Amino acid sequence: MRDGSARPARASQWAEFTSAVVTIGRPQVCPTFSQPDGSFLDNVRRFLAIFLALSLVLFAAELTPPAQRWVVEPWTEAVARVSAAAVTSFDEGAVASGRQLLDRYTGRGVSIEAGCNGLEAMILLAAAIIAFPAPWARRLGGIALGGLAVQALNGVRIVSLFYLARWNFAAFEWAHLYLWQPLIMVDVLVVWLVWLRWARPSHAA
Amino acid sequence: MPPESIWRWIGRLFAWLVPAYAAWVLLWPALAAVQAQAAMIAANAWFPGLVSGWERSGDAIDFVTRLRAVGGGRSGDLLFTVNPRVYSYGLPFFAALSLATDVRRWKGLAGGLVVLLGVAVWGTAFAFLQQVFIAHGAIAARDFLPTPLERNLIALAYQAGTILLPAATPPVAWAVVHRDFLDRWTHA
Repeated sequence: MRDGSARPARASQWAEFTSAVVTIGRPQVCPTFSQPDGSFLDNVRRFLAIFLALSLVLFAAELTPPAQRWVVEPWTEAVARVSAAAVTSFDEGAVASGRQLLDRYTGRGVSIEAGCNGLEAMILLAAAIIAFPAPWARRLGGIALGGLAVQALNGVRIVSLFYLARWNFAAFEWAHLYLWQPLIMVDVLVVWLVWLRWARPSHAA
Repeated sequence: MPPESIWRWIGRLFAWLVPAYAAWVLLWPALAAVQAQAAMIAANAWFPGLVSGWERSGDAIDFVTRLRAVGGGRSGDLLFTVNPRVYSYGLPFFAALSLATDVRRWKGLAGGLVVLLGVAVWGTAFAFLQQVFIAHGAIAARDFLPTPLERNLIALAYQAGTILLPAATPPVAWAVVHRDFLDRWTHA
């Protein structure tokens, strides 16, 4: 099982796929995936190793003070501004104040902080896309369009949490802490699966 | 499942999320006990004698430390409260992902749940250690003084255990357990 011999058909299919990627002229993209005799399991292991390493590096980089100052804080401000603009465009009872989105009458609302900005989800999506052998143009396109999809759902999340906070704090807490995180990851996973189809040889060639 | 039908897969996923979350809510007390006990063992392994026990506090866990608080002529052991559920929602998420893909992979489902329980213990342990050594480090410093490297490790592990691991581990575990699905998916 360790050499993948129990899955000969899948191994050959994967090898065919990786070979096809190489033929479009970018063997340097991810040489570890370009071995035609590599087993499916080996390729999955390589994918996971690259994905985990990239995720950890990007996540650790995100936590550094320069990244916080120049990327995370401005990004969070922008997410807060866009979410506030979206809500106040159709709800006169909502008012934006800095990173806060508040009910004009009760003062209840949400404050959009680091961790609510969708950056971690985008890091995971980017790592999963980069770790898979595909042409760089497809990868960059996937990261850009996928990032938009993640941010769009994150906007829905913020707006929904604002209304939940106005209605019932317990419901807001439940959705905020336990429900929306998996839903954002479902979004990342679905975007990645769709991208896999888009980036496969029949489309990429 | 037919690999070409992502909408059917998403529908199945959401259908499984409901019972998976219901089971998770029902199992909260037992899960919290496992998380608290394992986190206490881990914390004491790193900082021997730090934790003397744990207590339930509603849905949260109070870790009872041997750190002493003195003030106004009174003294007592310090408690640190952690919400263990924040670190265990990956369990129903992974279960739903796995069951939506192939209900027959029960060994993979069980293995993934064990890994995610480990993630939940990680999150609980480092949330507690972060409170002790980062948020209230000055109090803890009288009895326990971690090195700067240890403090940085606690901070990084806390961040990873709160933001990254609970959300990222379920899809990763799913990809490992259902790698044949990914294989079919990429070649359909």
